[in-house]
Amino acid sequence: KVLEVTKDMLAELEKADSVFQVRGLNKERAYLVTKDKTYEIQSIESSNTQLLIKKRDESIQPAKRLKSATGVPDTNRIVIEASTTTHMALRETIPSIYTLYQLLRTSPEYSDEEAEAGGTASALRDVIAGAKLYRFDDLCDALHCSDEELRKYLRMLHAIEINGFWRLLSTAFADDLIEFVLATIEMNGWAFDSVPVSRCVEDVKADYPAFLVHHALRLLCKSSSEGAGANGNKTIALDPAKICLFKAELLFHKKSTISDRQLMNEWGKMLPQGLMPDRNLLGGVAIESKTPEGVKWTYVTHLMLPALAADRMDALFELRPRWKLEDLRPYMECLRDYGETLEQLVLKHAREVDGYCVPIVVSGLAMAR
Amino acid sequence: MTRVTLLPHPDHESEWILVELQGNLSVRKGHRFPENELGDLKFVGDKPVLRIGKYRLDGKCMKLNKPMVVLDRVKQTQDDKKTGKARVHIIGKIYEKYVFAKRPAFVLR
Repeated sequence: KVLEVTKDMLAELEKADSVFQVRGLNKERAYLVTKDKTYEIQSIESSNTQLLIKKRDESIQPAKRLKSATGVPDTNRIVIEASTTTHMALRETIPSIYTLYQLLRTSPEYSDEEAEAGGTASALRDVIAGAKLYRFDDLCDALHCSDEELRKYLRMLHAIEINGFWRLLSTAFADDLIEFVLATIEMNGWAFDSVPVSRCVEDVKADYPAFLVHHALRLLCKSSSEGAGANGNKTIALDPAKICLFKAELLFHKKSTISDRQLMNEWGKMLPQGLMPDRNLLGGVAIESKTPEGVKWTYVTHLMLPALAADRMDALFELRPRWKLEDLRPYMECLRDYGETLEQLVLKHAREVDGYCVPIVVSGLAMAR
Repeated sequence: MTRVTLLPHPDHESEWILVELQGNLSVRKGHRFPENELGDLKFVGDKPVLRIGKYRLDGKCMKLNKPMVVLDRVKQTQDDKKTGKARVHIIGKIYEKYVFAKRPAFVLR
């Protein structure tokens, strides 16, 4: 068989750690995955006959005109190694984070009940007997995506690996865990940009096992934030923006719609000293809308919206009738096809008026298709 | 779920050429392709010329927009079958093709 590739893939082939795998063969579509990309394989048919021959330096030389001893141009006998009427072409795709999210939701969320049972393999069996659980390879097979893309999506969904299975934490449990870890940090007076990891784990171990504390710190930390503190102990730098956002979400978990004044007031009270509430952090978390009673915020994350672009735009227009393109980015970004810009995606389901995206109106009926 | 891993064969650096003929090649009843010569390929200048029987096909060399690789399936071992794994060797690369798109010319000599 013949497979069309890119020049980058050819270079990648030479590397010792290169990964080229075809997945999804049992279903309608097959995908080629590399270390960090996913391609849909398409079979391209040709009505022409295609013969494959080896290029041998001593025989076929397009630039040279081969001659025999008599000076007459000579011919070359070539062995046809194979023939084909099709070849496989690749189309780069972006796997769907929403497919992964729906899969993980079919597993029971890790909660207080399981934590109290000890979080061991046997506790796992007792608490969730018969439930569907997924290992990393199971998720790769289900999504047909590269390992790097899957790891990125698992981080984005705040999933955690417990006894080899990837799970989501229940909202209430995650809130309590992170609150507890933050409170421990504040109580000990550790600077947010230099939290000693092992001491934090030690202080919290009566309430939460180490793997959960590490998970909480990872959710709040800046990327590449590991460092070495006094005595060479590993430290981690927390991201103030993530702390602020976590506190805002805590508020929204209690009350999904809140006035702007109440939000800024209560949010400010919840934040550690030195941090200030910032509305700019709420993009992709809450939607601002103007009502006769004043500005209000409604808790909406991209995971709460429909997975299809047209349905999602419908839902967003119901929450607010007009949007700036950049405000739509956190909600629509994950639905882009490879090579498609955000604007191209949005304008399939909306139209632009005076710099705002509005529903497409047909005969007085507002539609977002 | 079967996973097919593409692995470079020791020969994967070898270059292959795609020879594209418009239409179908057929062989006389009772004969098989592997047992017969197709014809002669030569170059006149930088253009390939294919002679099949009494017909001459004039072609041209074209560089492919995207390179291709030639794949050859590796026979599955018992372990592979149990674990649902399969392997395919990349045995060559294709960067150009010879396209014979013109109507064959009948050659008397």
